[in-house]
Amino acid sequence: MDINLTSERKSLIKFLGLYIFLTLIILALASFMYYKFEKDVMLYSRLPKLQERAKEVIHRLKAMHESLLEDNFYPRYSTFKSAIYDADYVKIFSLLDTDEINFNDFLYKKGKHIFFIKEPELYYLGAKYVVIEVPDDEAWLVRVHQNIAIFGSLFLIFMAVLGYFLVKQFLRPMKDSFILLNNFIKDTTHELNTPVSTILANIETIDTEKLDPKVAKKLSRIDIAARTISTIYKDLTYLLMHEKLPSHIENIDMNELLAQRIQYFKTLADSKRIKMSFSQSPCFLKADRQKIARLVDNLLSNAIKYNKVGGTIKIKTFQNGFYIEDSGIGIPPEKQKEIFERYKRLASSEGGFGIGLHIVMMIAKEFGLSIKIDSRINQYTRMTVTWQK
Amino acid sequence: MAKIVLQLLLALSLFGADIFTQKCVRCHTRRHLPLKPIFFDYLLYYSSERAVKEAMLRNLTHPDPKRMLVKKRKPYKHRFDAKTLRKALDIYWEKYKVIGKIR
Repeated sequence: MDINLTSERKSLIKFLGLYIFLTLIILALASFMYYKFEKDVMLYSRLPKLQERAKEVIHRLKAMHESLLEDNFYPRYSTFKSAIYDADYVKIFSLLDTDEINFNDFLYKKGKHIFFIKEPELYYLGAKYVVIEVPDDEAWLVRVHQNIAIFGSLFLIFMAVLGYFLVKQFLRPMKDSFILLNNFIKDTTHELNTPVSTILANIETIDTEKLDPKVAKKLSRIDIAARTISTIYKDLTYLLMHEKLPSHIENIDMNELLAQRIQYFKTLADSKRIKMSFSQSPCFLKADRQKIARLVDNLLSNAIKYNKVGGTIKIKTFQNGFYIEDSGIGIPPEKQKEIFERYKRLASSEGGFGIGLHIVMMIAKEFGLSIKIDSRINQYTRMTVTWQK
Repeated sequence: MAKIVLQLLLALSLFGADIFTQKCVRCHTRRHLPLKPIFFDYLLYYSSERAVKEAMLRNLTHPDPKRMLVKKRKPYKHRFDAKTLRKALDIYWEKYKVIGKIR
């Protein structure tokens, strides 16, 4: 269940992220267009007044021109400023604060001023361009910013909610498939438990001493296969149900637990002629017994799986920890970090799904255990599990 | 006698004058065609220094009644070479230009 919900959540977050990003771009474009529109509306609303002012200046220029500049006093007004430029954009006279005039636009806003450029029919005093400058109080801009903030936020919220429901709709078929698959795995594993337990229980009741050696060997193989299926069943159950499994914390005697699990895997180890040695010191851990058994089983299972035929497994307990060391293929340093990831397998030639060490890490995290890997290629791998007192 | 003295004084005053004063002013004064209104007429239609000088040069070297700013004036072909004319026009522009004279 965890796998499917996580991937669904990730897909949901990714889609929503992209959706919101695109929405923001649309919002930015819409805001910019709205700003441009409002600015143009403001500028054109000022146009008649600006034209009137330009006319006043031109009228005065005409008088100056007709006097052949005997009258050379340039008109000054309290409400606006003006300047005159010739056909080559050379300044003839200016009362403006700036000399940077954009002659490509006849009406524009720059800084906190509005500029209007008028071309008289005749160039009095050589003035082809009469520039009028009026201050802009920017009250319209405050209103535009407020509207963008309010309506932009509302639009964003609306689009986010809409996006969330759309994503839910799109992901529903995928989620249904996940749930179906999940239930199928759950049911299948549950149905596996009874026959496997029956096989194991019955094998244990058979006295192999009285059997023909060939039959005993075949029975041993059946035992190994059944135990392997049982381990897989327990792993899958843990993986699917670990969130719902309550932890019963108890003070576990790790020597007793490890001895029990070693005994459980003895048949499997014997099949590869692996010798297991167990060195004991007092060792106790406060945790859930079933879950710690899962952790130990996976470490022992790997130690057997990746060991060579006729190899050894050393198990040692000490105060606040234990280690399991095999004489197998070893783990390359670059792979040591990633082997705890789900579906990561060291060697594809060996069986399994690559979930064992992931389960080990999950259990270790739950109970605050540290796991250290010491390994040398084709020599050994030592998995040391330690915990705080 | 007095007339001779006056002509002598005039000749002496023109001796150190530039080409514009020597030729243009003198001739235009004699023909009662003041230069300042002509300058302002050109300014009214051509605006910039470059455009005004180009138009003046064109009209002085290749006068065309169709292009005359003031129709009642008669086209007059000047006999100065282009270099001399340009020099005279530069002085003309500097004398009557608007830039720097508005207050």
